[in-house]
Amino acid sequence: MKKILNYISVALALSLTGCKGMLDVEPRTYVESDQAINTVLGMEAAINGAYAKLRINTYYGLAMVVYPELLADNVRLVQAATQSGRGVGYDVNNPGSHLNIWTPAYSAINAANLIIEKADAVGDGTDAEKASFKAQAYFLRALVYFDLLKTYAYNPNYIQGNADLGVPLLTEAVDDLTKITYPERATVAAGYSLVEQDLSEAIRYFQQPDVNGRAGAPFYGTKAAAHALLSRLYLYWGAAKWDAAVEQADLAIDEGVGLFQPDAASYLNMWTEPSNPESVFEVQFASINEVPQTSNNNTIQAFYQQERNGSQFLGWGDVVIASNFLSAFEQGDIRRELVVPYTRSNGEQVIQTDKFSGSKGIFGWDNVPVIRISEVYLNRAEAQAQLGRVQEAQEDLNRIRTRAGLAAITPQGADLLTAIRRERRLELAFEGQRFFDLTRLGIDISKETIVPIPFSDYRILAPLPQSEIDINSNLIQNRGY
Amino acid sequence: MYKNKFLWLLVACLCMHVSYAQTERSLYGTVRSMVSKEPLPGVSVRVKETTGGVTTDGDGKFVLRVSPDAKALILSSVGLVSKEVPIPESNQLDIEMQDADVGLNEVVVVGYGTQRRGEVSGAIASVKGASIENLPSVSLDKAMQGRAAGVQVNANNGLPGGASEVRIRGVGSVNAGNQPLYIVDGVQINPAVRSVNLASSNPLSGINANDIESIDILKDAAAASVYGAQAGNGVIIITTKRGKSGKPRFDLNAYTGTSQILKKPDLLTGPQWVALTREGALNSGDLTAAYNADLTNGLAENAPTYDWVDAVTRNGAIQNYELAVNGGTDKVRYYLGGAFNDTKYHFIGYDFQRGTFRSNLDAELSEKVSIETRINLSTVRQRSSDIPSFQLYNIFITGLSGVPIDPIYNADGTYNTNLRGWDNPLLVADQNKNLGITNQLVGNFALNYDILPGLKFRSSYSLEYSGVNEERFYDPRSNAGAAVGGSVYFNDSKVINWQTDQTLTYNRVFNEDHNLSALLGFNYRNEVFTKHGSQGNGVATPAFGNTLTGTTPVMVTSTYDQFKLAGIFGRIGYTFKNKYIAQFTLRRDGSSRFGANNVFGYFPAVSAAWRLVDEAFMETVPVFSELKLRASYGETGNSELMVNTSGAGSYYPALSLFSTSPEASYNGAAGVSFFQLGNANLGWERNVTKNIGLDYGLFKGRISGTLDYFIRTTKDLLLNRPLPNTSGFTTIAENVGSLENRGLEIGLNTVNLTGAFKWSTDINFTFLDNKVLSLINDSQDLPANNLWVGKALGTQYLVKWAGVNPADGRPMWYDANDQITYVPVAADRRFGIGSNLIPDYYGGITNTFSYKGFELSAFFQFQVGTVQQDQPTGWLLSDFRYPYNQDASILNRWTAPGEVTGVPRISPGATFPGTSSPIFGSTGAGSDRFFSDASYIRLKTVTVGYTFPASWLQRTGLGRARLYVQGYNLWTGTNYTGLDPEFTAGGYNMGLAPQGKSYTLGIQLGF
Repeated sequence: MKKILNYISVALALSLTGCKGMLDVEPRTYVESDQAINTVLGMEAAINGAYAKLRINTYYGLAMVVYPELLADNVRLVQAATQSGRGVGYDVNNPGSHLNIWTPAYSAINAANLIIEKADAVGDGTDAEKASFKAQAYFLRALVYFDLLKTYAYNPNYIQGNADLGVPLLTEAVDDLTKITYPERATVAAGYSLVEQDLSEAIRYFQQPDVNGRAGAPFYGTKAAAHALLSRLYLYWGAAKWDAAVEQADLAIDEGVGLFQPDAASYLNMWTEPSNPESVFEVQFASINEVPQTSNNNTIQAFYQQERNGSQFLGWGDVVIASNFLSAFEQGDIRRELVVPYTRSNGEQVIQTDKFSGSKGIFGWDNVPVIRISEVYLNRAEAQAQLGRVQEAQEDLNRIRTRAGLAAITPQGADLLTAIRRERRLELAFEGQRFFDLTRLGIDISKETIVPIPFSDYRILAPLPQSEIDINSNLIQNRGY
Repeated sequence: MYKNKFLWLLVACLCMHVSYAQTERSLYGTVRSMVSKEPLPGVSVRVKETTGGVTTDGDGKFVLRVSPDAKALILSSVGLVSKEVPIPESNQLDIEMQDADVGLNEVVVVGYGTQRRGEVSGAIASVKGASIENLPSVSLDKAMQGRAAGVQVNANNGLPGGASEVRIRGVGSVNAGNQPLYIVDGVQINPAVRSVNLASSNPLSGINANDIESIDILKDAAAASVYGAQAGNGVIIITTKRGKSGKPRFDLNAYTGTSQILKKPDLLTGPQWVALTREGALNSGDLTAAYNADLTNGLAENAPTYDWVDAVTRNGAIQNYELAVNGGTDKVRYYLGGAFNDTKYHFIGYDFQRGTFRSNLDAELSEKVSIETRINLSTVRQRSSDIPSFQLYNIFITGLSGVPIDPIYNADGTYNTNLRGWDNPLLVADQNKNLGITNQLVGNFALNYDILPGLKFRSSYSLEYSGVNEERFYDPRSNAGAAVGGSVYFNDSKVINWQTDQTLTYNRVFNEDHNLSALLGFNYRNEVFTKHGSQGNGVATPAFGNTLTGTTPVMVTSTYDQFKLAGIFGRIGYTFKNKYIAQFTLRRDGSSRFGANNVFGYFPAVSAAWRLVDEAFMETVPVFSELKLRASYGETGNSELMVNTSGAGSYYPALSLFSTSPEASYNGAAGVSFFQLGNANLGWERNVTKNIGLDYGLFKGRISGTLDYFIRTTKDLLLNRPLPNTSGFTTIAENVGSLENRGLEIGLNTVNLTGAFKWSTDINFTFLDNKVLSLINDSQDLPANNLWVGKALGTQYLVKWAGVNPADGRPMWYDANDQITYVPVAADRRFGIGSNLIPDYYGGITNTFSYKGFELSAFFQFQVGTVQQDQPTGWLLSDFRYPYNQDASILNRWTAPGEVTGVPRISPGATFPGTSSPIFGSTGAGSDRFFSDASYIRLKTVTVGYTFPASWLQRTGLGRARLYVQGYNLWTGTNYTGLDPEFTAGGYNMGLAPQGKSYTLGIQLGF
């Protein structure tokens, strides 16, 4: 018996130890992280994967376009006919009904950080290829950080209650458990500086020899897109950066990415094209499969429009145009044609926008323009007006107005700024800019169904996800939540 | 290979020990119970006046070398009256032994062997095949419900063939698997769901419950640790029927029946719906909406009522036919069985059909060599309307929420599709398709070789193959297919799970009173799961919805998941004087799922039993026929570590991986994304179980049962530690934390009346206590994961509902200071309502009566002390914010100041914060409003049967004829507000089709 015991213990101890090979498995449909992005092809795939994160439903796939409109004053919500529940709470700025881009945004940031860190290690890459990878990643990181700052932090000029916190700024890639950090929120100013720096880096890399600074436009970052985004950043940043905003707008326009549509016909037509010709940067949904949710239920078009298809309804069309927006139109504005009347199933007459019209062939399938060249002109106009360069400002303003079939005007001083901002509202409506155009200027949000939301109200900022606060005690929640 | 070297070394060693003279001969014998005629394993057999001997094997057989001058054999064992048998001239003999207590000689299947109940020192529960016969629940896991102490079974849904959650001795894991390891005739099967879109798929549903001889549940680590890293959640061993020698015996069994929903939800009628919709519109201050509602809906009193629940339910129909034959010669025995089941569920669009075929063969090739095969073939065809969580197209949900004034059919008899954007569930059931066909083979081949008396070698090879072919079609006329012109999906998946076990067993009797058995074995398992999926949009016409050809390709996917496990194990059992029993087990396991720094682990266990009943001092208390004290301590592992940093399932949780997917492709080019962060230290969860048990029998077994107290501690708990999302990841799997399940299991079987009128009662109760002992950094709670140190798993942490303000009808909650708030925030959450996972106690009671040929059995099953959220009712109290019908309790809504009611004022537009009354408070902090006590007792089955007397059957040629009627889920006692308190599924019960009650009529014929 003793011998048996001895043998059993010896057998248990010795066997298997030499048989690790018996346990080798091959995760065929995955690639181990140290092998995944160390080639040019791998890096290109990583860049695609990073841009693809913009498409998620809580980000540019839906929320980043529709909610900034619902939270502001261009639209209102009608529910009675469909009672779809979509957008409920956002239209009345219920506490907590706000953008929630935190998780997808930081996922994209980490993807960008990885590219920035690993680009130089790509064995088969040329210097130009490496520079191009980094340029893309810096651009993407800047875009996402800017979105985070707009959502979770006050504009640096309109900080309420000393709440000058921005968002955590992570610039090092996490590719290993040991690199997990529990960051604090940096100041808004530090955030704006990082965005500025990233965009400058992107431009620097786009300018490297043999780098094609406009490859993949408008679906990837380009030199033009970086300049355009900088012009928006500087406009938001305020007085000290107005000169720079003008300069960056000039540079963006010079690049020729995003073609300003000169006349009414081409302008109206561009909203039916699969890719908007004015886009300096646009989030691409290349196949219906890339639409993050069922196209007729949870897409931008499904929120904005309803269509009858036989006896079936496609979409909900619950987000309709507010009267106070309609009244802002002047007579003869061809953009009025982009909003169309619709009779809902309960007989209710509403006005829908036609900007997202399933332009890629299937209901709910549209690309999302993030920066159009028209915005760049408006950025420049506003910055010029702030700088007192009235004539230049009027020129840009009238470029937008005359294209829309309106007469050129020559407002001065405060009227000029007002006119530019009104034009900006009409031009960029329903594209996810309105809420930010109000909050960057500290303006109260007037609503059609409820009392205005004063800018001092805590609901102006989005709450950090509670789960994130639970995990990371270094984070400070926005006041009021 | 090391393995083989060791086996042969061991053989050589044993050979040296056994010295014998040339004149000895081998004596082959079989030992059976005098009462049950069943073979008795573990009986020690020795030649009189010698001290050494052997013990019988699992088939009651022994081989003993006897010298020419040997006169008699002495047989003795636990629970048997010792016997002396003269040695015959021939080399064969059959011996019957007198049982001291029948229950003690019940054969229990332990890992890699069998024991008699009386010898068992671990905690093992057994369910005999007979007690789960003919249940219309189709899958065998459901059939175990309430049958064994310590085994908790909850249906995930009521669908035929639907999966169940089986929890042995509480819940031992948070993020790793909690299902036990199933071993079907030696084949290890993990009950993972393998389909993509089917409402339910269960790898165990391919087994015909009527082919089962016994189900043995290894509960404590001492019993289960021979399965090492896979045994942490307990092991369920299923043994199917074998043939018995003799002429062919046929058994024909047929039953048919019908089923209905358990409870019809109480919803609004058309006039009520119209009136309240109008009230909602007025309340929201939207006069246009109110006006428009009037225009479209008309006057309330004129509104029609269409019963959508009626439209989506029907009388279910169950049919089941089986034919089995068994027989054989002394050397070859067979059991062949075929069965067909056809269940039309009581919701439209759900069908289940199953055909199974089983072939069990045993053949003795020579006196030393025997072979066996166990083969089960099955094909299961399931049709279900859609995946449960996908609310928009789920028949159950759209049926529940169908607006009562919307006609179901148009005037011309076609489906009405003008339904506020929602699909007509009848159209979905009729025109869409979600079909799955599972073909499964579970087979085992084994060769047994008796090397020497007492020393056996067994070489076993198993294969589980299952292929699931799924087809899904969204008709272009349905909402889901409308935008894209119809969608066709195909998913074909395949599991190939092969295993081998090589074991040596040795048993020997030394010095009369020392009975030793030893096991040494090697086990290897390799499982590969592959899947190919494809989707095309745009069908030419709906009639072409069965093919991808001609559609526009949208998506193709493929999956390859592999898992390997290798283990070597040993077990030594020792019995002294048939009174003192000890067993020691050790297994070393390696798994491909573990991290590189942690591939192998040891799983030891030790148990002991003391048969007090055989002590001299007990002779003064002759009422006891059994009294045995057991104690055990051991460790097992849980290697079901399938989680990753994205919160998704992963077969490779320890590796850092990139994936490619449609979500990562961009601008028409493929992309990659960081799928998960690896953790090289990842290892198994360690379950340490301490068990004290008592087996008792009184009055010659009239009263018998077991008592067990266990403490099961799970250490190195696999936790999805939430990562700050700023890292780009959401969770990481780590072995941190621990939790504990303590419990008391009581089993009591009584024979209350004997004689012509017989009455017996079987009762089992399990009291359970579950507690998280430590989490990350020992004490840090994880609110995001609903985990708190010192609390049970599933403990709800919610904002407390405070009812409705009588002044203005607003819903109220309590804030952290117990003050009323209308806008609850996260800080207002609290404990108090209990857990949705861990009951206080559960069990079952069976009463069986028989008189002459009649028998009646009634089986109650109960579970007390959980709370569940009634999500469907929450959904149906959505204040007309969604285009649904509403729960009838909205008739009690607040309407005027001073009214005291539990249902708030209808406020569809949520025009001021906090008036929305959905399941959640307006800031996303969960509220306990729709939780209620889910304790229940259920009359699970009632069977009335009549067996025709043999004298009547003489002329018919039938050996046996029995007619029976069975009712299933006949009555439920509960305060739960929802449709079925039985579901667990982590609290998610939205869209899960509830169970039904059924009645079946059956006949069993033997000839």
